[in-house]
Amino acid sequence: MQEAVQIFVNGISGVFIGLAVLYVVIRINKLLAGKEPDKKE
Amino acid sequence: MVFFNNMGLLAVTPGMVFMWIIGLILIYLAITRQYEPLLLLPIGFGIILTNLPLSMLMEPGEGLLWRFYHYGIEWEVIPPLIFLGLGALTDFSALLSQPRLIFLGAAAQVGVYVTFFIAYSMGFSLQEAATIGIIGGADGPTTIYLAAKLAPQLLGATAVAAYSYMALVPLIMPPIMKLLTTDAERKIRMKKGRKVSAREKLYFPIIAAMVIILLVPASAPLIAMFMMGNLFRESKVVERLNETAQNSLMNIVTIFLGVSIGATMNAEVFLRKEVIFIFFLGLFAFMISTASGILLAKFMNLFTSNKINPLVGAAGVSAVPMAARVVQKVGAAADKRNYLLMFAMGPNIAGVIGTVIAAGIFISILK
Repeated sequence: MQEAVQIFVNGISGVFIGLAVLYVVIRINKLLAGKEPDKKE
Repeated sequence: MVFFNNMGLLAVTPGMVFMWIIGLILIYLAITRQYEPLLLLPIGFGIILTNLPLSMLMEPGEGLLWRFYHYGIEWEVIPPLIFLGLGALTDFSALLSQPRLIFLGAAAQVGVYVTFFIAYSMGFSLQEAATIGIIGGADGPTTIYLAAKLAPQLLGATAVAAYSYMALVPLIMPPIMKLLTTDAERKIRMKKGRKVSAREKLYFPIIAAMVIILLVPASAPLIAMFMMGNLFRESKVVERLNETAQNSLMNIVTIFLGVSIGATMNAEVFLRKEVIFIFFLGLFAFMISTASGILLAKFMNLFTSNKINPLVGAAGVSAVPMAARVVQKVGAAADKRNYLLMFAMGPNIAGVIGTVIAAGIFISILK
């Protein structure tokens, strides 16, 4: 049972941490991509 | 006389007949009700085939269906290929323009872990409980991938449960959505997200694949293919590969996936009381996942002036794009001019990634 509790806690926190990191990645990605020059007609 | 002794007809058991009926029901649902027909039709036929006695179709080392199953699923080829196609079909704009919605995809994984815990308490092994819990992620290929790795004996039951509930999303989700939200909340109109540049969409699959795989290496096969498919799409220079990943390849592997899953469901393996529990637990996982996404959206609204329509939280259940469409429908029932589909696609895609991370965590601990 102790192992199941551990997996439960690690799992939920792991998913939230994983997606929180992805949130940061999206922010950094936006900075890296910068502003695209306007496309000329 | 030898011919008569080798007739399959004489070896039919009541269990096999029961499984034929299950197979026929799935085929019926696929054809007449259009419930996930691409999967349920080959699964249904696979069930019938594998329960025809003496056919040897699932004979290890010999049978045709066994080869599909062994090289496609046991060798972990088909689920990652499906993810390649999904990546090519996915537009990350909704997620990139409103990244805060990513947490709703994480909340939806709560159902996975709550169900894991309950299944374990009911006597399933840790591996089996993980495989049952992942049904709540509502992601067929991930469910199959995890089942093949941790509990192959449950592969057929969990896959059919996952795809059945994905087909039933329009019936399962709305009552929970209405129960947990007020009419005023359902009418919340969200602010439109910013425009996402093509360069941003191009960089994302590369950076995201590297970061997620560094964090959860066990998720690599699925995430790698998902992001590669998306890179095909966003690069705009490999249209042939993009088109193949989205259509031809996806269609081919879907055939083998469906019939292989059906073929694992022989009467001896499937007709056990545990399978009934799996279906109930899978439904429970689905419901908790829907509810937890909605509740997190409501919680986030306590801290922001830029309100989130809580219905969008339900789309964290990663049945793409069905869950997002249901959000749009329930939202439109409250306010006809409220267009939630684009917002719902954000958590919907985050839910796919979240489920893969959840599966990766299970594998890294339990394998």
